[in-house]
Amino acid sequence: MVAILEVKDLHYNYPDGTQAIKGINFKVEEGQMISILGPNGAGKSTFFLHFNGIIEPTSGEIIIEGKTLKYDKKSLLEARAKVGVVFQNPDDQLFAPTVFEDVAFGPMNMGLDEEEVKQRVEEALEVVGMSEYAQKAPHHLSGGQKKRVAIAGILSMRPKVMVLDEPTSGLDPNGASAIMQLLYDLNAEGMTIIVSTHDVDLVPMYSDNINVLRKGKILKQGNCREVFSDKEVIEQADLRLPWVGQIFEMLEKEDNITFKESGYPLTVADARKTLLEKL
Amino acid sequence: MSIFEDTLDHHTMHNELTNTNIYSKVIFALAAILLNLVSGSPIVPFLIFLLCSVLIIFKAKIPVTFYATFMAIPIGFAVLSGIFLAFLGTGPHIWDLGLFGIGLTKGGINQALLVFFRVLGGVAALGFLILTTPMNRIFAVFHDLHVPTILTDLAILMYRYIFLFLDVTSTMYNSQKTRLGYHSYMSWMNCLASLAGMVFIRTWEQGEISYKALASRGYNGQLNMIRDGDSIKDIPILHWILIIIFIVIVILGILYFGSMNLYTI
Repeated sequence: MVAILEVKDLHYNYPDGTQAIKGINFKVEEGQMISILGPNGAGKSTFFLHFNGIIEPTSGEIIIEGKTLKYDKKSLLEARAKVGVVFQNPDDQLFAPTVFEDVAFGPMNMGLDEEEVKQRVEEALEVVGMSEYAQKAPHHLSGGQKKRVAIAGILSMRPKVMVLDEPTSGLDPNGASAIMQLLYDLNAEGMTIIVSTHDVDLVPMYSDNINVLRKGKILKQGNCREVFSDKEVIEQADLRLPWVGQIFEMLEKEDNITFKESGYPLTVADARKTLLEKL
Repeated sequence: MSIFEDTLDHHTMHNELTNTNIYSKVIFALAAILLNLVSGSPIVPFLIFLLCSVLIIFKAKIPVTFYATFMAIPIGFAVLSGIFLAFLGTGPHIWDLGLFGIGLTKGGINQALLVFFRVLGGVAALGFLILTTPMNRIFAVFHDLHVPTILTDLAILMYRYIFLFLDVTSTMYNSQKTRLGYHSYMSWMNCLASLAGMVFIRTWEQGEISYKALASRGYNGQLNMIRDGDSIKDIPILHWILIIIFIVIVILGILYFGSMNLYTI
């Protein structure tokens, strides 16, 4: 597998000298879906803004498709077409008077001709299910709809990697699942996706590659089972076991019923299977 | 969302003329405003006002109450200036105020009526354009007319962020009231001052982050927008015919009525 995005020994200090990122090594292979879990203030957003060169690291390097990122205008434009970042608050991202114009902004900047742009916009809006809202103004949309438009705004650039900063924050449970399902489908079609979140209940359903970030460092890297069975890391990072896992933990500790030796089930489907086997 | 339900912006996007070719509307509105100014008699502006009002209420289906509130402020100003003009005319008084030797004159009343109805006609014609046309199409016209990009870019960003900050302001205002703000005159002053200050800081932060978000999508100093405008070539023949008929009738009206007014002098 080819590393599509690689971060080598990344350090970043804020202008006031505070260390935000303290030496991160991070590698993303094509087609992966990676979750970055971490408490508020862990440096997730700052970390993400390095991927497309919005923030220039204090030291270390970003390598996109084998090319070390340079910070001149041309390389930056290229990097931003390859790595698309969806911001946490869609209101930060949506600026145009209508949804259609907003989604068209990225591809227009890539210098594509208008026909191509229109086609991409229609396709992107179709994928996120917002086609009928094309002519609406962003301030007439609900939170979930704005989120979808923000994602479409990146999709229309057809990036290789899509980075989403807390895509489920501020959404109702159904909206959150729908967005995660959308990302999952995009991933199944080959898009590489990096998601930051602290929704531990949703993560095990969609991603099997988790990085735990805390205070500017990656504490642990691994699949769901590995990460969630490491109690120390989970506690340090202010996370918790998914609710489903907690039921099995309590059953084991307080009622001495062990279902599986290899760890607790973490999703509803997983739990159902385990219970059926036992009964 | 609810605070945006009954705004001008909402109605521009949800009326029967939203998707009509913008140039039809621009040409009609400009012609109406110019002819309105040329007319020497208040009758023609009054007819233009009637026509535009009928178009706005019955053709575009803008709610009457909303149209009335929209017109209330300009009408208020027109009435005020009308009253002053009526007293400022020269010639024999037909009614004396009994103060400073001023009074109503025939010329003054004629002048007042003319100005009042010109304002009415002009605002209605302009209202026809801005009540039925979404802003983004007006920006597209700016672009077609080669208005400098920096102005259009600024207008586009301002248009979007007005609504964002309106939302922020109303949330903050409610949260202040929740904590018993604005209960007395002094508190009112304090709350308003801190609200304004906070909104200012928020705009500053928003500016920083919006720049990052735009840069992430390849912004490099100029908003490359796809223009969702109409072409002047696409005006339906019917619209041209109607506009020409309108212009001809109004010109005939101007010639026929001349400077006919309430009093002949």
